[in-house]
Amino acid sequence: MKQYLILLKGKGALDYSPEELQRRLEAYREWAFNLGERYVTGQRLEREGAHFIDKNTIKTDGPFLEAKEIIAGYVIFRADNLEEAIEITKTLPLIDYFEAFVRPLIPAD
Amino acid sequence: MNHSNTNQLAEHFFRHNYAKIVAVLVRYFGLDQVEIAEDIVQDTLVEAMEKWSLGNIPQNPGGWLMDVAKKKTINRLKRDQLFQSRVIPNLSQASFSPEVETDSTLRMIFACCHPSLPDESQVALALKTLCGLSITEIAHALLTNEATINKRLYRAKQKFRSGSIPFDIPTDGELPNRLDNVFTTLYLLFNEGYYSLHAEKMIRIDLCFEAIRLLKEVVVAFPSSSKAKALLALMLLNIARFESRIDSNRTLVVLAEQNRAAWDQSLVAEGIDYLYQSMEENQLSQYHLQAGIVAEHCLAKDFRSTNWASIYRQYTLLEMLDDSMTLQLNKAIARFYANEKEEALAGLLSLKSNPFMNENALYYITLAVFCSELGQKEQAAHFFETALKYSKSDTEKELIRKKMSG
Repeated sequence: MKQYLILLKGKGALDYSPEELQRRLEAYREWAFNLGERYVTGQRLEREGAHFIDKNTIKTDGPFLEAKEIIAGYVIFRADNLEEAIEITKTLPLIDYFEAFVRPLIPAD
Repeated sequence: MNHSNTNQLAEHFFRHNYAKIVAVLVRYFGLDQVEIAEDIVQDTLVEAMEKWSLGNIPQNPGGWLMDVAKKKTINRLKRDQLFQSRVIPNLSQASFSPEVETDSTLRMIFACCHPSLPDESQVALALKTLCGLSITEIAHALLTNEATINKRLYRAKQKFRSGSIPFDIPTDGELPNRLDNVFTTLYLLFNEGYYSLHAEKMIRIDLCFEAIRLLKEVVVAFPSSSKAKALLALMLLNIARFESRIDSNRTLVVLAEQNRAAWDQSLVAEGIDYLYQSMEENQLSQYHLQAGIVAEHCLAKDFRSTNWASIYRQYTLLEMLDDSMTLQLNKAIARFYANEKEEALAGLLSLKSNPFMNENALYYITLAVFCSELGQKEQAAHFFETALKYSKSDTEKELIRKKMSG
């Protein structure tokens, strides 16, 4: 009589239990609200535009040819202080592709 | 969902191979010659049908198709002096490996979703070139005629011929924008299937699953794109509820009355899984929030016990990215069931003079339902009457009358 081996390999199947699904949704909620509270607005900028050196000198009137001249967009978010703002900026995915400037906005009133 | 029908399997097999081979051939022809590639693949499929229907199905049908298409291409090019120098050297040493196929399909996705193509053309082009649907099928799916579809495709292919659209995979700085364009087009494609009440049910489900299939290719190629995963979650969680949205008379069933047991639990699980994965980056997009809202519905036991507070909060965040009135209406509904009933009603009433709302039947139905739940019977009756006046569809009028009497 021969000996046989059964190898069991995970199929990478999804965990269908309602508890697990709820747990994941819960994790998402926490993540989204945490991020959402700080996130105020963000928008992409069009490629065309002008770069003023002073009132009479327009350096570039776009489309910007060099990557270092591109200002790609902005994000406005809330943070308690500059240190926290810097920490949040580090988590920005775009930081891999662009330089970023973080400056506090002065309230309008 | 029953996709196991043999005919349909064959249909899917041909469609997907059509799209795959066209994408690979375009790699060697150039995007400006996409029509030649399509002709050759069409020919190949016809030949396959003729041979295979006699019972001689090769062991590797996909590989057989690719080989025959390759031979036909070489034959065609031999006759065609113009491409001699350009294509034959590439093609004769070309290997049609799975990697080349995947890469070509991705390039084709980016080309078909290029921002310089008009939106309408993008959807038609995606269906023709990425999904392999015939002109007749596309016309049927998009509720228009073949001439219109031909016109839209013609405009797109003119763009291809002009050489302004690259057949490549964008890199670095350009990538996020180009991916956004792909998401928009695939979401449009999905919605064509999901929201159209007219086309055949099978066709509509097909469109949705085609959008999901293409988006999955994008997710595999760009695993770090959290937006792609969030959109995929949104599509999966929506399609999970597809069957229960429409009754046997092709009438929309309101959420509160949908049969939740008919929701496809494996699609729900897959959707939640992608939503979970989409948190990898700290980027909260409109797709995240929309998927998060649908997820709340999918995991709720019933309408009343839904986590309306979470839904309301997500709509409030979504508001910053989407200022549409439809969103305002949905937000008010969530707020109402999140037990801020008076506030929700007051908020909705303050939008009365808005041009989108003031002749919108759905707006008055919502007001009427709020009033009747708050015990304001006279007000409710008044709003139901106004809703009847502005309603444009018979099924909706029927629904209003039912609510009035109940």
